[in-house]
Amino acid sequence: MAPTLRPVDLLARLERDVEHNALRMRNGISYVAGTHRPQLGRSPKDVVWRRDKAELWHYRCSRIRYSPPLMLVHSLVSRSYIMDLLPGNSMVEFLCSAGFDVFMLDWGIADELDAENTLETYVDEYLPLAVDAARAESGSDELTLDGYCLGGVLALLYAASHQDAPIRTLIVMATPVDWDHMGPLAAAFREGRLGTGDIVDESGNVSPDVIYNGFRTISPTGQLVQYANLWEHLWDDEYMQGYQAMGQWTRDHVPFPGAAFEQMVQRLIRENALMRGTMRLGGRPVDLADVRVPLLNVMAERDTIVPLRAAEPLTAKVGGEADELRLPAGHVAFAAGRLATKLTLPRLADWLAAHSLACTGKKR
Amino acid sequence: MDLAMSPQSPLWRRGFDRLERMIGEPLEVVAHSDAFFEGIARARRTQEALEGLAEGLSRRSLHLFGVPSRSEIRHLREQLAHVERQLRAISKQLEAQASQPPTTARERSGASEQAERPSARQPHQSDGSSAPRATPREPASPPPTRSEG
Repeated sequence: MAPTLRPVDLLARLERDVEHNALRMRNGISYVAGTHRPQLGRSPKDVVWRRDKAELWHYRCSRIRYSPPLMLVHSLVSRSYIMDLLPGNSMVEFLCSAGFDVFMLDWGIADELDAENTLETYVDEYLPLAVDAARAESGSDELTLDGYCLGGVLALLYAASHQDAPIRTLIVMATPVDWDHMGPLAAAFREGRLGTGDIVDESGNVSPDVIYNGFRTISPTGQLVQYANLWEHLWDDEYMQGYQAMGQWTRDHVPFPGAAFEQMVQRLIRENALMRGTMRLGGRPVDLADVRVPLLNVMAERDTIVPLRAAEPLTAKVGGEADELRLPAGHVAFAAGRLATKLTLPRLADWLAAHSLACTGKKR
Repeated sequence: MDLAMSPQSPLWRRGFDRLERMIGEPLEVVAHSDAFFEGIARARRTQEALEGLAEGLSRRSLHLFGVPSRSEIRHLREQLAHVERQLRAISKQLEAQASQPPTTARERSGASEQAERPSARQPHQSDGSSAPRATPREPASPPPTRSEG
């Protein structure tokens, strides 16, 4: 039964509701008019390396207290500004202020020219060169790699297949290794109900619309829930800023190079090669057991894109020391949102600090 | 109104969540079913067939006005991308060569003997996959330079 309210409480709640509705109206108008769109990915940075469409960004972290530097490796299907969403809600900003020297490897926006890019292009060509560039820029002999989602897969493949890679530690966030548990969309490819030819467009890539709609099939009413959340919190300026930023990111996918997509479907989805230890790259075998550097496997319990069961086997698969960080959250709580600031990033920074060397007040 | 409800979630929201689950769960079952994905594949093929049909019908009239059809433009873009990819590969090879230290004639002859032997570091592509492109670390096959010869 609902509790009864005293007249004074009732008046206070009425007053609050009136105030919230006034704020809702103001924020609703600016949301529809698009006058207060947040500027995303604005932390100051320099492009220190470039090859084809890939770029390595070096953030201007003011007080570096730890070595080696950290290189974020982003996914091939989404935009990297999720790692640097908004001031006060940015993984890059948090790590910089925690004393780390941060680089970001951004793959750019693929077009026809990149349609033949394979996993080897990323793992054997771009990644080693970007790592060398980051080392040259920072003056450090080694790096920490931090891969998000498919970027985590690329970082893992690099660490496993380049035994001489100058990696001190490896962090992977929402990174699938057991593709048998990647949900209905992956199952459709595995069982042959969908073929790569049904998905790859005339540019030779998987179009961003297909990627976006593919994610929408996971939760068909997800958009409605987002609108309900919007209405519920429309009065809250801070929430609105985050909502608009996240909304923009979730709709902002990039074309997935067709050749890499075909490899992903054939090797990772159909053969589940990472789990079975049958992965090959450029003709040579790649075994996760060859990842011998300390690893942190960060997973989200409510992740519907990379379910826990797809990510958690990695911890036992690698050949070195492996730690886990499980979050009571969804796919994007690694890098953005309140949970990221309060839980994920502090724990990530603690693990990184414990596996880093202290610098003596180096400034850029 | 949510005046008498719990402070955590307003009444309308709880109603919405219940309704969303009532609709969402059956929709998820449909969206994750075999038939749904087969339908997507079939719709995609039908769309392609219809586009091909429309293209065939419109091509002749477009040609009357000297305008290329969509498939012709697509073909040109593919060709352009192919040429750009080749240029990219050549410039990478040149870059790799430029970054190598200059060698003496004797070292070059030794290197060419070694190049004829199978390499242990870069196994032959046996699984049908695309070979990694030439990198400054391991150029696949350096082209002859103008200075040689």
